[in-house]
Amino acid sequence: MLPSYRNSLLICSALTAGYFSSFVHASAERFAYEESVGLLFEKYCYSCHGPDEQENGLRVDTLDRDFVNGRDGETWHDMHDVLILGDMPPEEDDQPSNRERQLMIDWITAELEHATAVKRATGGRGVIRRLTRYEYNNTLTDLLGIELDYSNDLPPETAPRGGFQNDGSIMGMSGMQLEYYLKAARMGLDVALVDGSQPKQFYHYGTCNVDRRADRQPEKTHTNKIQPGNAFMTRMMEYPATGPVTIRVKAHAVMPDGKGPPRMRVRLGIRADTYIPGGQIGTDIDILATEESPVVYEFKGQLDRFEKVLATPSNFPGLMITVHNVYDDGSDKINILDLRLNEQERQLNNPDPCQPWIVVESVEFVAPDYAVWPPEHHTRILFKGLEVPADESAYAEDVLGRFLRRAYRRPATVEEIQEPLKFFNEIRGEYDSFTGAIKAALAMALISPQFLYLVEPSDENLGARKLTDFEVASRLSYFLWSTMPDEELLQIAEKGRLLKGRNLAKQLQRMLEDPKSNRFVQRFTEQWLDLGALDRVAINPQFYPNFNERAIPDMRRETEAFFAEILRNDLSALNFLDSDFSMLNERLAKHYGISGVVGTSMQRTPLPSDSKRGGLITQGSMLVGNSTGEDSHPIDRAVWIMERILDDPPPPPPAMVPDLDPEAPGFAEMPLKEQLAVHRQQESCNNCHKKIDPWGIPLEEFDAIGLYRTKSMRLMSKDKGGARTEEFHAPVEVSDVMPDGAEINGAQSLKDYLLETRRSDFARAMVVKLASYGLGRTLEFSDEPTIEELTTQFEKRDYRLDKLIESIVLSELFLTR
Amino acid sequence: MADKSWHMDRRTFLKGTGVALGLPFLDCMRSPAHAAKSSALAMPKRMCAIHFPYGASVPSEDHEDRDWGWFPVREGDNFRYTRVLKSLEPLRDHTTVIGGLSHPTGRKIGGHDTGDIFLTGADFSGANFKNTISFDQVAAAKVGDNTRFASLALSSDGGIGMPTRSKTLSFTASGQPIPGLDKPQLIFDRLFGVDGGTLAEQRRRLETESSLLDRVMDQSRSLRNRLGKSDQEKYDEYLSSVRDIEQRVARSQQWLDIPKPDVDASELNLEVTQEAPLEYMETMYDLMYLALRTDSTRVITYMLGAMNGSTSNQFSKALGLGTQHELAHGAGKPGGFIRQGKWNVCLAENLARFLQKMADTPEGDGSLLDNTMVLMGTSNSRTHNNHNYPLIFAGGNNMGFKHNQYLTYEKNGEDMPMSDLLFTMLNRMGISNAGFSDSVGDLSELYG
Repeated sequence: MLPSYRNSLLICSALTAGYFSSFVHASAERFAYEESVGLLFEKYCYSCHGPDEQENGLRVDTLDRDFVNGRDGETWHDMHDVLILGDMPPEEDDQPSNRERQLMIDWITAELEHATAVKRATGGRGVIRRLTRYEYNNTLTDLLGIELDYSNDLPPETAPRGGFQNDGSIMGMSGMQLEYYLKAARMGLDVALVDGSQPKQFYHYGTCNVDRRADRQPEKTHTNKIQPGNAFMTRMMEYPATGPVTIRVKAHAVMPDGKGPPRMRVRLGIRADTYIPGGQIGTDIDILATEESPVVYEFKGQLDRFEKVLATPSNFPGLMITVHNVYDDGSDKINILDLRLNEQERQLNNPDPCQPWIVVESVEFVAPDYAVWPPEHHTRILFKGLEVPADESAYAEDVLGRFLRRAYRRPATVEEIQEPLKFFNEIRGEYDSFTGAIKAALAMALISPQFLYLVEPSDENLGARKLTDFEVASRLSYFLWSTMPDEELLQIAEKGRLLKGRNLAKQLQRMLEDPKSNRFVQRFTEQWLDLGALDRVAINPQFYPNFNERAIPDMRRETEAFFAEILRNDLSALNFLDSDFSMLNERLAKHYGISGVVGTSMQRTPLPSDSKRGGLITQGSMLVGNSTGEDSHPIDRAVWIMERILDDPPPPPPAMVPDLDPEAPGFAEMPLKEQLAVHRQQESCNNCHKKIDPWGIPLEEFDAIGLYRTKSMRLMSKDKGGARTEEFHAPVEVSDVMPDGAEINGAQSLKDYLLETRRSDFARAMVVKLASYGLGRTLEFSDEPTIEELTTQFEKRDYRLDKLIESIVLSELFLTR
Repeated sequence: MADKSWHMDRRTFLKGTGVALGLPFLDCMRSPAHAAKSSALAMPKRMCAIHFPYGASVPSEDHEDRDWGWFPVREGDNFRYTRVLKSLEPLRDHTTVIGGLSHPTGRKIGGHDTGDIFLTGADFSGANFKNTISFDQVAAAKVGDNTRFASLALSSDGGIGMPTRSKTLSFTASGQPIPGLDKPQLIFDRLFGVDGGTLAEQRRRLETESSLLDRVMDQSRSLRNRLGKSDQEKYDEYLSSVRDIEQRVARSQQWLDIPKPDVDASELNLEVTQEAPLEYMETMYDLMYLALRTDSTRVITYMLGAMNGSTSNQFSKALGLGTQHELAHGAGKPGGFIRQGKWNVCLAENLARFLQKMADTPEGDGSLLDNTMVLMGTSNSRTHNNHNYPLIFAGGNNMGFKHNQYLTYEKNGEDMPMSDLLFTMLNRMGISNAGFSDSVGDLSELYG
């Protein structure tokens, strides 16, 4: 019997990045060469690589021990690798003890990490950074007042290991990218600024649920009672392709006992089956209205998002407006979004009485729906509306001044206004209208560095300087909202009062209370905790036939909501290590085996006292994200904890790591822990892995879909190709010993250990992560004292996140450059 | 037509490809004034490089699964393709399998950090992650003016990534990564999309664009002086980006009179995303084929999969296998070479399809493939092992390559520098005779 590939354990997979992010530990672990290591090199290396002999041209005793300024770093690196692999000293010579070998390896590792950190250091200034992809999208949306997908064509962003996408030193720029910025700016301006009279309005009113294939079959109507997974549809044959759209749905809910409110989602599409262009209008709404008093629910959106598709003739005539009931309790019967069209057709007239329905009474469509003409997003920029004063150039100057103030997040200088103005005057003759030419000039501003970058001029010869009110306002706004400052923040900066008294703290409080701060919650948790990992794992149905894929997005929402709950309710961040509640909806609770939760929204759910679910490290997002889709991945899980919860990632594995020895007797039947132990039999691997594995082994209690288990299922191939398999259930081993000797047995004991022994490491990690996100740079040596200070404050202030954010914002780190 | 024999006539073309792309009339069959100016009689010489991550299946010679290995089996003077590269059998006269090459600088860095330097040979020692120019950009600098696009960088993962995890193969003269395009529709629009309006309107638009960029440039230069030193270095990326577009606009102005090739997109699946890896790769290859065939560019790189590329890593799952990374790590386990080999078969088949299409497209006295060098490979052999890159070199017969060979350059356990191959390609293309990166010679066995 052979193990199939599904059991393959990726020992070094998680440790492959080339960066070391944890300067703190790198510096702490450095120790003097002379103390002991020098003697070891002398004892084991010099005879062949010393004053008398230089085998292979290598002389160790004269190697430069200064890795930062010296030229021998790479030779040391080579020595590091041969020491780990046991290639040196040669077999026939005296061998160092394991401890001695490790001392030499550790010394080189620490020096290399130190040198890397020093070389990357900027003296605590960071480096000019541009807006990230998502910041750019939010900023243009707010600046132009039109919600479009501005960043679709921009290249994806990356983050340094353990860091964030807004790290200026990592972000690139290229000609192609700049072209797409220009294209996006023009697209937005074309929609924002209008010409001529108000376009014709289209109106549609539907009360009958039509068959989704009405173009092929005679019209027939379905019930208006929409059960979960199903939809109410109405079709209009003539419709516009641009402008704002409003859809009003008059409806009420029918809720059986023990069920939550049904949830409504409205979509537009030119095809009923695939919903091309797949546009959701507005956001989902829970329907609470009763039959006695139905409510009109309103959804607003922008047709220009799908202009290209809407304007193209289709084989599927007409525009479909679809009202879905997306309530989902996780049961098998519910299958959202028309995956089983025929089945749904059949069910459509027979709503399940055990599920909450939406009863749709009418659907109203209005587009383009302009409350005033010209629309507000037009007059915000061209403040005289459709009228153009005789002195166009003077008007253009005014327009540019007002626009640049918002685009550059501070009043523009005279020269900054003059450049686009000159351009406007130069090209005005080429355009029929003022609007055409001013758009071109505005687009120019939108590819200027003052817009695309957070510019903070400085002179390094003069040392650090205090940031201006405007610069602080921008930092704050991108930290908490991922977008430009709003009018209130900009005005207080304009008055020069942002940094006076308690104003900064007050603004911070206001901004955290604003719904836009959800962006901070999403962007920070996503990157800090690598929530994207969930999307990279495909759960293998052979292993988990009953798993409901729809629980995966819920796991992400659980972690986001958990972070938000702690942030917004003044709770201690120690809840991240262990908590007596989590944030669940009915579907996810069902997956975890927790009862009593109803509805689609994430809600605070107390956990039973014997629950293993408290804290971040046993949430689905972590356990599933760090699995192979078939089994747990203890190394990934371990590295995740070390890197994200403790900010102490292990060093990457050396080049040329030897393969595991799967031929070891009984390997396939061993618990993962023992399989790892086989790897660790090689002393050089063991030295690292004994520090890593104990963080992952206790979580072996949880399988690849994040559920508690006592056995781990494997499929064993009966032949080499893996075509025929049989199940095998390996025992699960959950106890291990930490490098400090602490014995850990299972997830709960790991959490206890974190809380009792590693609490201050966690506090420090939280400070480092939040601060580097807030600052848009990796922290480095020179930040050390501030980090100490912030960590102390964080601990004193009961580990409250809002207070930590305040401390960071009020710190020198944030207010100077 | 007489003096430019690579401008095929429509009938020859249709007969040759056997592919229903439904092209009404190809613009490369006209005579662009530009091409006429440059090297009037010479055939275009093109290059194309493709990289996939984490090595290939490389069992030892006596391994029971040897036939699932990438490298062919030697039989006397000849060699036999294993089942992995079997799809290249019909292309024997266009293909050489190469082993025993690697970048000396790459042998010192982490196994998964080597994708960045596949085409550059840069030295990353001492945590210095500054890259150097990639060989395609050396070529683009020389032949780029002959085509509407100097070069094209594609990537399944898109963008630039970060040092040691770059998602592109192409780097500028100053070592800046050139973002790889990953969206088929966007690539198509760039290459073949038509800007509306009359010629006069288009010309005016470009003039406006160029004036806009001038002003942005002026303004941005003055801002530079107010920045700190470390900011300035970063900020220079912005300035060179503006310069980049300026050049692009200037080039568009030069090419304005020559219409873009009229390519029918209806046979292409431009909506496809990386979620459907097999279809996606096929479309990317189709786009490369079209770009070369229409002579829109002569230099293409495609990062089919980046090391640590979270998107492309999943591609092998389309065959019901593990991720590419898992396959590489699992290679040593029972059946591991078979699983990795199966994925390699898929990669080879895609390549073969691409090569075959080019071979079937007549150009001058030979085929499109005869005028195009194609390099495909990976910068690991087995997991974390930075020696003996599995490489396929194909095409370019008109540049003197002889093919139908399996060459191994390893001697006494030492590889020859990969840059020797990159240099040989540049040299045969007439780009450089002075070496590339850390090359020490050329690989004369490949030609002559």
